[in-house]
Amino acid sequence: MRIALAGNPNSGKTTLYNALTGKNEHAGNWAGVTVDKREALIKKNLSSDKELLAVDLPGAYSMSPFTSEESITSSYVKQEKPDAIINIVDATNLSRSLFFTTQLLELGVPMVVALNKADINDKKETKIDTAKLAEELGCPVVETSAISAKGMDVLVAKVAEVVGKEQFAPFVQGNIDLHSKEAVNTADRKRFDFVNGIVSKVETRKVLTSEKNKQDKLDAVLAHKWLGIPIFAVVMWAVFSISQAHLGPMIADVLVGWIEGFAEMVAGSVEDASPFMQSLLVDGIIGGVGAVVGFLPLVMVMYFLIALLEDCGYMARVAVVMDRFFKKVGLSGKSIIPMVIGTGCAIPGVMASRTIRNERERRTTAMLTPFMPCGAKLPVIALFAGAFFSDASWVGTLMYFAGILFIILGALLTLKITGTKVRKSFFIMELPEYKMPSLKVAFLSMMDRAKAFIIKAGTIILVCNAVVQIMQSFDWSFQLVEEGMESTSILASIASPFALLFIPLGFGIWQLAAAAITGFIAKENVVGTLAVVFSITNFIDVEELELVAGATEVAGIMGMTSVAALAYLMFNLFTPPCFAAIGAMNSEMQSKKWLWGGIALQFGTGYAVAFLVYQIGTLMTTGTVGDGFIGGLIAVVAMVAIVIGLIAKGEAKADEYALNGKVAAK
Amino acid sequence: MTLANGTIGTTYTITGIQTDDEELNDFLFTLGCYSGEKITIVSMVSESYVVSIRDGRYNIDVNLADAIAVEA
Amino acid sequence: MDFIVGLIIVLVVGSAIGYIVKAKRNGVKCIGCSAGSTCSGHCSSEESSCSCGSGCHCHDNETK
Repeated sequence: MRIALAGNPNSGKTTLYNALTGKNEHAGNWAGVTVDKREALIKKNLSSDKELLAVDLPGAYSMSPFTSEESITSSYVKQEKPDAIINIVDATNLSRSLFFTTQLLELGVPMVVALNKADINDKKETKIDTAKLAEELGCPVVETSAISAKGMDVLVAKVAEVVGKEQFAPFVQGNIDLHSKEAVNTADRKRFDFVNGIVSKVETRKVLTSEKNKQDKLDAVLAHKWLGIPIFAVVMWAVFSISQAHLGPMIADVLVGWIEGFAEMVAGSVEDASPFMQSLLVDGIIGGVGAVVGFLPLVMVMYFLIALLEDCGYMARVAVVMDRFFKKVGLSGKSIIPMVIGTGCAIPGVMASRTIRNERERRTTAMLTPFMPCGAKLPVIALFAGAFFSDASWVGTLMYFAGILFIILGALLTLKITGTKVRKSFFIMELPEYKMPSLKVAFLSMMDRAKAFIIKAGTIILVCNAVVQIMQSFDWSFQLVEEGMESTSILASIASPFALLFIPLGFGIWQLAAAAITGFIAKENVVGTLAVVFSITNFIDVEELELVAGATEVAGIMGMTSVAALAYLMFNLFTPPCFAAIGAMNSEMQSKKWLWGGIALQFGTGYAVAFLVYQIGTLMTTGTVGDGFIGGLIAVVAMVAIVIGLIAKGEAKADEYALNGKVAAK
Repeated sequence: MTLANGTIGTTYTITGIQTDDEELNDFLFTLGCYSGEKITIVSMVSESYVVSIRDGRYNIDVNLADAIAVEA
Repeated sequence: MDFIVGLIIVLVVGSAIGYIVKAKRNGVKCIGCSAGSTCSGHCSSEESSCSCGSGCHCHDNETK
């Protein structure tokens, strides 16, 4: 039996879904996190061993779809005829939620209302007479609190009861001409009047939503015109500081100790094997995967903190603060949601851009979301921050804000190239209430990321490292490369031409080029490959609690300056994302022209940024420009010229539009 | 007048939505934002308004506030 | 000894590749990305809401 979960955005559908099924889907305390439907079996102890399939749907305010995710919901409940619907109603906003409820009831599918967030109502002393509400709606009403999984057993029992029964609608729109705008409008007004009637009968409110409350005082500071961004910066810095410089490395230290112990044990027991086999297993597979896995605690702590931030309602305020800047470059606050999700993984981030109605805006968002440092890039950031800079936390924060800056610049560029004038856009976003973040939710979210991280390390990263190790061990005549002659290996000969291109960026070494190339398969590979090609197994010091074993030592082995390291880091962060993310960009953009344009922009950004960082940094630290300055300059100037050319073309197009507009107006 | 020149803390009655964007109009409707309904300006943050419509809190920008015609 | 070590390597790498192949067949877009498996929808019907899986372009009936 299929049971659909439907309700307004941010009414807690996904949280309820998780509570029912025991799944751990990403839920955030703001609207628009779920953009696609998903299904899972309801836990056996709740369903008394019956096969009940719960279907989580994106939030919708009504049956008439405005966004693609709303149309998923309405077409699912209309066409796929689930056996029952659980309508999740936000108990704190009954007067809006019941509009959708009455529409759902008209479908004739047996329904149970889950009156969610009942706990918040208790605090505000809002009382809802559930028995009366059930009577008015003609379907069972169950009070739930999805966060603490309260009321789940009653809910499922009620669902089992109603399945197969007929559902009557308390309000029937009747036969109206659906093509007549006016008729629909009148009917909808009547529906709202009907809802108002119910609400006045069942709800008693002490605190009105329109009154100023503590939340507004908090908003006045957190979403302040000038303070908003600095506060966000401090928050992000704190997240990086705790996860990358304090708590994270402390745990990582222990973990790396274990990994090293394991590697030594294996090395000891395979001493008799041939050197190639030994190094493939110990350096390539265990060393490479171990180097990546060593960063697991940092990633876990980071995601624990980000989950807390999302859950407490702060992220919606960040969207409000950023809207002002995004609007100037033709994006809107709506683009923030994909970007915040993109800090976890660029793929769901790019997919979330689907909620944006305007096509150009949607494509631009899908193109720029990968600039946010995702989870796979964190080990890369942590490695370079620790190896080359004394305080790791500012590097992470800087990369984060550099990402935002490139997004804004990229959007501006896109606007110019497409020749679109900033149109008058409207922004409306529901402000969720602040609440104490749930440690349980954050913990589950963290474990979910950890599991994914380990799976990725054990599969893709492992295979890549093994391949890198093999390619590094053989030359083209399939002879083992002797020690000291690594530059004749297959890997070196493939990576060397690329290394030439990287000379102006300060890292024209084939090892670094190889690591950057494997990064396109998965960004963690940068760390894994560096570990393999430089035979460094321990990036986190066991004795000194420092992130990287003898920071200067690692820096020395790689043979690059801090400035070059920063350039290399930024190159890896701001070039095109991994292939999987490019695939996601492709399916959201629906245009080859945009896809290739996006990839070109990402390459250009990565190259130009690395060039500028390296050359300007070197000029500042040593007084002369770095290697390959002229060559790099030519490349960057050429890129700028192309961009200027495209902008000129875009402007011509914009003028043309304007002209056409005038003609049309006449 | 429009909501954009309203004062903080005041509840207004919506008289209409001034936009050619029908989708926006319909969307606002589903939130309960249509002529005859009440809307309260709760506060202003970051050059945008926090308003309360029915029992929901929303952040709307100046453009949208300017499109919502209200009377006291 | 070489044989045993070789066997272990083949086993480890083989099972990793096996996992990747299996996951890809199940339509997982990004292995080890916590939301990579969220879009399990396949392009079944014309109204289906699938917009994942690179190359399948049946976007939902967009409201124009």
